[in-house]
Amino acid sequence: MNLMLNCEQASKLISESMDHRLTWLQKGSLRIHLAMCAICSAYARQLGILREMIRRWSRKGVKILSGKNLSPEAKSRIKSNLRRQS
Amino acid sequence: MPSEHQSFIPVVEQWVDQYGDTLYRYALLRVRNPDVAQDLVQETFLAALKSPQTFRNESAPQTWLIGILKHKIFDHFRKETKTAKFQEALPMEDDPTETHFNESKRWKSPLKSWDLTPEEKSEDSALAETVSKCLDHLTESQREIFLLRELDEIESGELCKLFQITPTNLWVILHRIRNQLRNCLEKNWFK
Repeated sequence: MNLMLNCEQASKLISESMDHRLTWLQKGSLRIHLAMCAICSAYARQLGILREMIRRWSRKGVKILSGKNLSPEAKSRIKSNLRRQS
Repeated sequence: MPSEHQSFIPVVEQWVDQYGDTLYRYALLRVRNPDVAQDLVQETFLAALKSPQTFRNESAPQTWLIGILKHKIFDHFRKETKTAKFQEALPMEDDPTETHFNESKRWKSPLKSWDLTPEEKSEDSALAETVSKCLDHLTESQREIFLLRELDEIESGELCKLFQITPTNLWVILHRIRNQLRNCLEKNWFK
């Protein structure tokens, strides 16, 4: 098995590391590659920043990613449906 | 209807005004279709109305309601993924047009650095707007799977079950989405 990753393999593993726990072999190979490859290191940082931004902004009340409100009509409709349940 | 439910109705009605928007935006972000989002919010409030005894143990209505809504969204996706149209829309293989690597599979050129200013980090920033637009460029199924993974932090195993795909498929899909978003941001922001 070849422990030396190329950048295409490394970028794939970088993304995968965000979705599941890598094997120790994968983790080791990736760490070695990142130590030698500035561009893949930048890529890893950028994917991390992307995840950070999206999580932070959506947590803060979902304003930017989906800034719509329920219309007053929709709210009255829901409320009258609730009352109809009695 | 039991009297317990009767006295609960005005409480839930008030929640529609208080939390309706938050629930709607939560749903809309994930299902994208405004009508579907509205239906899910309505189903959530109806389900809440039927379980006043469950709520008594909770302190925060919003958290409890979001919990119900999460289940409704999950059920919605489970039904959705059974349609052929949904299955077709998910790209399963690596993108053959991916040109960032040369023949030796090394990067063709270095990546620009992403140093965010404090202004850019704010949710009101133009950068946030750009990220939002880049997310809009994803297909509906791409967006659904990505947000379930990133925002709701659903584990790979669960996502595979839900979308009926293998782990390898899932990871390829998420990788492609992340690449697309990164490219979009690089093109439109970090020029």
